[in-house]
Amino acid sequence: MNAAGSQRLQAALWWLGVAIAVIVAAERVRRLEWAAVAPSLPFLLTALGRSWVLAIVSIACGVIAAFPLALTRLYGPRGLRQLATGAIEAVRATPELMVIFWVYFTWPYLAGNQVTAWNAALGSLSVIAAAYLAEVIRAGISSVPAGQVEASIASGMSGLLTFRYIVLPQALRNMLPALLAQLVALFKTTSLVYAIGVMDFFRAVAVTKNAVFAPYALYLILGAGYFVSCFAIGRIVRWFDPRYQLLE
Amino acid sequence: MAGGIIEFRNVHKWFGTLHVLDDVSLAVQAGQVVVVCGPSGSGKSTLLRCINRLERIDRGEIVVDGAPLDDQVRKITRLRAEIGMVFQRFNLYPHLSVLDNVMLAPLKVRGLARDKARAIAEDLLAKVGIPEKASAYPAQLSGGQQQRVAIARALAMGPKIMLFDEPTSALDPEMIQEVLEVMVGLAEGGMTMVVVTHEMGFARRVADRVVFMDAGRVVEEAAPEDFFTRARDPRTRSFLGKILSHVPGLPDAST
Amino acid sequence: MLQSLDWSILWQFRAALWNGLLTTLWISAVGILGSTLAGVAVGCLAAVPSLLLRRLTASYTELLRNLPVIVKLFFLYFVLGVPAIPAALLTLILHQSAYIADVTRAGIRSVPRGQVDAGLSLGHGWWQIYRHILLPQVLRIVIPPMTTQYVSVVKNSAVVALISVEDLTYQTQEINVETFRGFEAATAATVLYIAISAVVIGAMTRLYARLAGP
Ligand SMILES: Nc1ncnc2c1ncn2[C@@H]1O[C@H](COP(=O)(O)OP(=O)(O)OP(=O)(O)O)[C@@H](O)[C@H]1O
Ligand SMILES: [Mg+2]
Repeated sequence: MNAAGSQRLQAALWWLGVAIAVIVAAERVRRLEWAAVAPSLPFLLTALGRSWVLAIVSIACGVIAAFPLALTRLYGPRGLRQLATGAIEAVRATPELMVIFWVYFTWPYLAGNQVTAWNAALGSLSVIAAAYLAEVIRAGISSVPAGQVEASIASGMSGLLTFRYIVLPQALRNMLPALLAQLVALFKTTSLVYAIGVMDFFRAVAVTKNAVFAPYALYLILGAGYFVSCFAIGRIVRWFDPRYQLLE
Repeated sequence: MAGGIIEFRNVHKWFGTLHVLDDVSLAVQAGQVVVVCGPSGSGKSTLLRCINRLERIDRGEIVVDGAPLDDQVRKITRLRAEIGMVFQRFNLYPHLSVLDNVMLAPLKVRGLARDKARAIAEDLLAKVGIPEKASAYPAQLSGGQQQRVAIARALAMGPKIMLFDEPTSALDPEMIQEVLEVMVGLAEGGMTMVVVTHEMGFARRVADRVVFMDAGRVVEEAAPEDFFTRARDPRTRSFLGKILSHVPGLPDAST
Repeated sequence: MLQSLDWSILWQFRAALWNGLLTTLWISAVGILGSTLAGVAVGCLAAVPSLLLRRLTASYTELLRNLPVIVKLFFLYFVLGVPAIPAALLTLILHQSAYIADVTRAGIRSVPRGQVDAGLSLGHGWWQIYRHILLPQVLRIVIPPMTTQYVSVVKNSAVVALISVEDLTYQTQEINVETFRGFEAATAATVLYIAISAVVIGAMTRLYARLAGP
């Protein structure tokens, strides 16, 4: 067999396998307990929307906090720099679930009042996002070659102008894929706020599962909800990431 | 032309829609040295890589050492052990010392005992002129030294055929000679060699035949004397004109 | 407020915390070992120039990477009925193996293709090429990204508390339920998690230095 033929055979085998898998799966999926699940669908979809809101809001808050953190870590005065580095690394080394508990338990001490689960969820996801995004931003800024800063300063631009017009535009472009990757990671992390009682997509499915006996149908919906959300974000990441395109 | 140790019979190969080998027929007799030249992208490397089946062909037949190349993995692996190959970019293993680079295949493919493999490797390193570099790592060597290690590595398997793909074109001028000398030594020792190179001095000195390729076709095939002085095809003459014009002391090919 | 904190609670629950730490440690260790074996195997297959293998391995990593850890864990435990500890270990291994496969594949592809050609031309089979040429180089290249993966295993192991495996996180919750001292317990657990991560990072850094090239 020649080279091109082997490629065609393998592609044919692959699609044959996919077709068989789809047919078998479709047959099985059709026989799941859809009638029992149908009434809960609006509830589940609302919860999926809530997970998206959690992810997007906390990313937004995270970005706002991450910039000063990253800049302090890069350019801050000695003491502050260590402090920022320590905070970022501590959060990154702590399980996401622990961060969620932590915010939930600490808030009353700091604010003096109880905290709703929803606010604790937003707070903790924002803290997580801030730490990871600060690292993304720092990496993005560091990725701009020092020679360009030197060239810019040498041409008479001030440090601030150099940062604004030379460093930042390139850094933003370089950090975009990592930023989107964090959105995927954060979207998956939202499932953990289940543990403090927020009615996110994951808890909604868990609750429904207790009410109606349809475990496979529900977990299929659960998996599909997360998979489609993350896969979509992941595709966008690849679209933006020139390194990924080179790898293909 | 029958009975060659390497025979191409109407070989075709495509990369997608690119026809890289277009009806190539060629025979190399045992002990011959054949030099292949031609413009960039003409399919020289591909031709070479088909001989030890690093590339598969789409049509036609290649017979090496009496056996047609086919798909059987075991046969191909056994055949490759009998054919040495030297690459433009050396391709030494950077994590192994020079000695280990040379010893790896004798140990793992031939299953030789360690001291036997070591003796062979040291012997070959002496033959290519760098016995003192045995325990160095590739990154510590000059390009010319690395290429000589690569030749020793290929020779350690005791091949019947040696393939060279532009072995000197990644080298600084002062190192080209040391590599060519090793190759001349091999040729004079009776090795069957297929050499892709634009070192026409080498071709004149040791080649039995020179093959000129263009756009995947073998355009011209002749003994060096005829090739340099009486090339038939205008493409060959134009190519020779380009690569020979700035080499003093060589006759202008187009006259 | 802060003066109302009672750190003696940690001493009082030292046995529970210690047991939780041990559970977290061994679950993480098995998770790291298992996901490395599975991930490296899948990553090696992904790097073989075969369309079929590439598609199969890509499906594996895409599927596992796009589902939250907790979804896999609950599916194994509540839907398929796998016992808690095996479900926990399997989840950690499956999840991280997908990432480790990608790290491995990228590592293998970063070795210049010419070395594979050289190996093939000398008559090595694919097994020998991986064993003697690619993997020794890849092993060193992948240590920094692998460190991140191993820290992730430790961190992800916290979710096993949600199916009542009595790890460090589980013990914090228990302390909180019994004494409402969640803050103190969470602080202690966090310090311990950070310490484990620090040990993992330290060990990998030393390994990297040890494997330093010529
Ligand atoms: N793996 C590949 N996939 C697709 N195209 C390829 C591949 N390898 C080579 N080619 C193309 O095939 C053509 C012939 O390549 P080949 O390397 O054989 O040329 P060459 O004569 O050795 O050129 P050079 O002097 O530059 O080494 C080129 O156009 C090249 O771009
Ligand atoms: Mg070439």
